[in-house]
Amino acid sequence: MPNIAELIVGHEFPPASHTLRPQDVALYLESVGDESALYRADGYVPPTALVAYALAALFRAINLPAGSIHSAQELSVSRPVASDEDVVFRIRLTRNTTMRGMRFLSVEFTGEDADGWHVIDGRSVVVVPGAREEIRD
Amino acid sequence: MMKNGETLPQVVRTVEQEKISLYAEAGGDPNPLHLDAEFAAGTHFGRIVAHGMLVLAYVSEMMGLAFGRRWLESGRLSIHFRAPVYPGDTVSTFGEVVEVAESEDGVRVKCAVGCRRQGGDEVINGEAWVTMPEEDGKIQ
Repeated sequence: MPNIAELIVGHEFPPASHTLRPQDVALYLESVGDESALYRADGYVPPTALVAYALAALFRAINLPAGSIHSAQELSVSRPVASDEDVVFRIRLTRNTTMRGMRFLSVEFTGEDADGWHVIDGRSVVVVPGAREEIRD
Repeated sequence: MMKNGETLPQVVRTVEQEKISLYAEAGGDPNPLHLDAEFAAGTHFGRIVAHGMLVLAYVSEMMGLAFGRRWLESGRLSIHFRAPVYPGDTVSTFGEVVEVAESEDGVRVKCAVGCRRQGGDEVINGEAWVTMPEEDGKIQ
């Protein structure tokens, strides 16, 4: 697993395949308390759940230090995504800087369906406490 | 047609530790800042903080209530997490149409969105967009 201090901008994490299992989506909906028919009856996956799964893939790839916090989020969806679909998340590092003892990591990600079409694009900023390195951008 | 100033349906939730713990499992984010009171006490927050994405889900729910399937077809969101949400906080979403403009694909509706906790502090703020067919340019 790479050391985050050594990751350079442009680093691409290994693609992460994710099957949107209905039971996992149901657990997500329960945790956020969303009873919307769009998801409960029609079987779609909330865009924010797709972001959560992309971030989980990132967390598995770099083992973020405990205490890291999420500071900003963008997302853009292009079609409804249904439970049972397979999505491949591709994540790229776009910022890795330190300032006042904090590390700022930005990543851009895409989620592709089985045909390779983007179903979601996003950008996340995570702040990691306890950084000692100098600025590297 | 939608107009500037129209408000979106409000979602109100009390963020209990049980939901935070469930979200950690569902979202694959076991950061102890969200789960371990002893660890969290040693951070500058001083106590457990809810996942930002848990709270952002309420904004997405609001957009789904307002725009239905259009939110899933063309939704865009750009937000900042401005302040922590602690277990027991009650969070309310807010959303207001700030621009309705024609685009290549139909009518592009831009909204100011976010969440406030009890007392009125904004914990999330930003913008969201949905593109709708011209004949469908009204809140559902």
